[in-house]
This record gives sequence, structure tokens and C-alpha cells, in this order.
Amino acid sequence: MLEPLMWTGFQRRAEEDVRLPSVFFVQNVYPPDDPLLFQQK
Amino acid sequence: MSWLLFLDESGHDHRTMPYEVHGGVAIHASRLWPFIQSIRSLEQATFGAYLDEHGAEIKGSKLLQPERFKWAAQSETMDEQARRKNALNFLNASANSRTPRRDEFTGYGQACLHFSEQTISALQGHGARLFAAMTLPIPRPAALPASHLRRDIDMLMSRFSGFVEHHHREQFDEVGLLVMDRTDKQADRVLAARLERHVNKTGRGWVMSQRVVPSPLFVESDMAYGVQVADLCIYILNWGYRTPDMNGRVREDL
Repeated sequence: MLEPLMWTGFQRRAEEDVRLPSVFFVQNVYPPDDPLLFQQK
Repeated sequence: MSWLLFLDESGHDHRTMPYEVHGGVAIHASRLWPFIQSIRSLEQATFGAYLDEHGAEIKGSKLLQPERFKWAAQSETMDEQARRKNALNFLNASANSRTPRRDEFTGYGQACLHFSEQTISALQGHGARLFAAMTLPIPRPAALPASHLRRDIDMLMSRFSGFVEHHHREQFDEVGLLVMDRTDKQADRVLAARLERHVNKTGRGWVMSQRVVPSPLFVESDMAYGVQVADLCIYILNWGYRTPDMNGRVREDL
């Protein structure tokens, strides 16, 4: 079952990502406010 | 049919490279064999041999190291035949316990640069697409759960699935497969487990899994041209590709 928390934050439909560059820079791969990160059990 | 995304990583030892890069090249299954054939022909035409016959590999850090540029610039550009002859003599020299001559160094340097350029052209010619997530070399926080998938990998997978979705909107049998360089079994299992958890536990992961099979195929890089070419591409990105918010060191020769 999907955790409701995981639907928040930077969630976006994958097909929208096609408009974004396929080569990109990620400033911080461990952002402290990322709900996918530190609140996981 | 499928798109295969051949993946490799660069700069993860946090030693010499300015960034960490995860990425590679996606190529449609229908173009894969023609692409491999073109690379093998190019290898023969450029070096007079397959590199693996001489203990060498198609690898960015080998083909495009700064020394190769210095060697290549030692004289004017050789014609194809002279370059191939000197490159092959260079490769044979170590087997014969002989130091290569100056023109053999030059020929090999020029061959490495020519091969790299033509490989990029072949990728373009076969409709390949480059995917890469670049980030600063940051140590993994100790508090992070072992099961967590890094954000750059998540974004990379998401963009690859978006690409497959966009190009095959009504063709649901078109999916993406991940082909990765095998490292060690334990690390590969951890990554596979992180991907699986990401798909099972997050909305983004579930959406991604509709178009990308979240179970990577691990291969020996020296047996897979796709992974070797991925290495070459992300090596170039690591030293040469910058967006406005990136100020890492750049190699101008690349």
C-alpha cells in the first residue's frame, strides 16, 4: 500500500518530466525538507 | 519492444572528479545491434584491433585523459591509415615489452580522440538519448535509512519513464529496461532493494514503474558496449557540462 506521505513534496506525474532536461543538476540529493527522506520508517 | 538505459556512475569515489554523475544512454532495442556493429567497426577501423584484445576498455578516463590530448597534439593530424598503424603498434608495444615510439604515442592519442568523437556521432545516428543526474560529491548522511533511494536516482528514473511515456503514449508494450555496470553483489542488491521499495512505497515510484522495469539488469561492463559508452558520455559530462548554477572545475580540452 502506498504511504500517503509519499504523495506530497516534489511528487509529479512522470510524463510531465519529459519537458524537463534529461541531463540535469541536483543541488542537494539529501534535502532536509524532502518528505521522502528523513521521515521514512 | 523496449528502450534500454545503459547506466554507469562517475566521481563516486570523491577523489578527482568535480561532480558525482549517475547516467548513461538510452537506445531503443531495435537500434541496439546496429549500434553495436557500428561501434565494433569503428573500433577496428580506428585501432586496427578490438581494445579488449589488448587489455584496454572503452572508458572515458582512459580514452580522454589529458595525456591523450598532449600525445595527439604532438604532430599534425595523421591520415586514417597512419593513425591506425601507429595506434596498433602502440597497443602491441606493451605486449612486446617495448616503449612505443613518438609517432605511435601520437597516433594512439589521435585514435582515442577520433574514436570518442565518432562514438558520440554513432549514438546520435542511432537515435540514442543521454540521461544524467549530476550532483556535488556529498557524503551519505548517517541518519538516512539504508532503504532510501537518493533523490538524483529518483529524478533520473522519473525522467526516463517520462521519456518512454512521451514517445509511446498508446503503446503500452514499450517499456524501459535498466542495464547497469555490475559492481559488487552486496551493493547491487542494496540498489535493487531501494528501487523496489521506492516503487512499492511511493507515488512517484509507482508512476515510474508503469514505464520502467524497476529491476535492473547487472552486466560486466567489459562485456557490454552500452555500459562502456555510457561511461564515456558521463565522463565528458562530469568534466565539461555545466548549467549556470554549477561552478565545478572544467576541462577545456573536453
